[in-house]
Amino acid sequence: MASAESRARFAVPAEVGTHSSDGSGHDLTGLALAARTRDPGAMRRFLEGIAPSVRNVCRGVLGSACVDLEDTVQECLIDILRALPNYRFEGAIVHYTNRIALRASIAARKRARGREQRLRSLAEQACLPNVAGSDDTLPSFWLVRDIIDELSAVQAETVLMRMVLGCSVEEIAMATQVPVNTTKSRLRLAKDYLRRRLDGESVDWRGRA
Amino acid sequence: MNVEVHPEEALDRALRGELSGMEQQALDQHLAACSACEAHLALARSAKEACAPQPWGSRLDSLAVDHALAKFGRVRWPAWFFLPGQKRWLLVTAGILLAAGGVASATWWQRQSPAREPALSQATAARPAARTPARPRRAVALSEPQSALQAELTDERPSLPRAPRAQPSAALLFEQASALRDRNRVDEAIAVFRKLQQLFPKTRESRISFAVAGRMLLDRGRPAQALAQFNQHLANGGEASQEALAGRATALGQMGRLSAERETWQRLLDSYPGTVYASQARERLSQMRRRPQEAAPGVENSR
Repeated sequence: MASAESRARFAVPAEVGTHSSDGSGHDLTGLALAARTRDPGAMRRFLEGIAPSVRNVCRGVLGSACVDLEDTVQECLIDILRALPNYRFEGAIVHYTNRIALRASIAARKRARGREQRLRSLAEQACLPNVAGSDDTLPSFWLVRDIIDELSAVQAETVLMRMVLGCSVEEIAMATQVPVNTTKSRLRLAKDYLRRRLDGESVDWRGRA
Repeated sequence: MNVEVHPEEALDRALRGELSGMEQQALDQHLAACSACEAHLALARSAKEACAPQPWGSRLDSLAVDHALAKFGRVRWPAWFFLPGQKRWLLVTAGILLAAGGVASATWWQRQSPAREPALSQATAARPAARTPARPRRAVALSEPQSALQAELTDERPSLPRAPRAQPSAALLFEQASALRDRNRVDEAIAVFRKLQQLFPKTRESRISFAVAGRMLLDRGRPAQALAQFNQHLANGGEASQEALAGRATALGQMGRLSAERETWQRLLDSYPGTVYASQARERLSQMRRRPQEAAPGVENSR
């Protein structure tokens, strides 16, 4: 079952095909069509329309205090502009852009993973609070995110769409263009792995002693 | 609730706060055993909080859009283009010099390849033949007329079209053999020359190689093999005919074939009166006329 609240959160400023929140009267799909012509005004309005949802996706994946957040948002917007000619108007444009943003955010997280781990180990050695750029110190979501990074690309994408973006199994199946049962299977496998790893960790991710 | 089955619908409803008491109890029971679903709930709630609207959100979005549009519109030049001015000009100059060097070397190579033949002929001529005559066997008649040989020597290029594809490989083999000969590895050089003759029989390098290899074989005391090489050179209208004729006469003398030797020396003198081998030819001819018995070589040198 889709969460209406999560849909609203990640489909800002408006649902697909409806008017944008700025009241300009342009729907995002129409703006996407205009932006494909490289018209500067249309590109700007389109990006301004999708930027909040892209930012939320990046925040959900990277954490709101991640130092790379702004860079990642910009990268996502550029990736979306580059991928716009490939949009076939088959699904909602916001789902399309969110998926691009999700992949770019996962890639950015993986790139920053080594640096984050080094910072974390330094902080532990110096008995300092977490300086790895995460505000999720309690509970320790960095551990959960690190384990998600260990999953395969499709499983990580599925589990992040489910847990962070709050998409239902059916929505994930539609966005990733695979059968619902495949999505269920990916989610189950990912969660099983997550459970095994979390149970095997000495660190309590919940932040309890 | 089974640990292996993750209650996705119940998790969604729990996030929305729609669970009844019984359902909440069942979910808590599952969460106590399944840390993955517990993490799911916690992460979803955390994301919900992180995505709450912020007062500076629109400003940040606007800035991100500005930067993205600026980066997207930028033409992607190669990285070297963004080097400081001096370094960039250095690279451009180096590129121009490289290109000019390539053109110059190509031109030089084209001019150099036909000019190698006279040098080779001179190098061959610088080694006069002086071997003891050998046992007589049979006479070998030259097939090429002298006028044709002269014509080849004076103007060879129009009548000798190059093989366009085989030329580089033939040239390479010729260079290899010459290098081996310079290092006094004569047998290996002869082997490479024979390979060249086998692979590229129609090339100029191959024709010249008959004369050079014949000379080397003669120096190694193999007059029969040398004779075959000289004959090949003369039959193909070689450019080093004087050297080939002198070498052929010497080889014949070493093999004891005096009449053929005499004929060849005479032919050399008739064809090239001013040749460097003229004095050697006259001396040998007069020696053969004075003492024909002494002029006959030993048997042991013929191979």
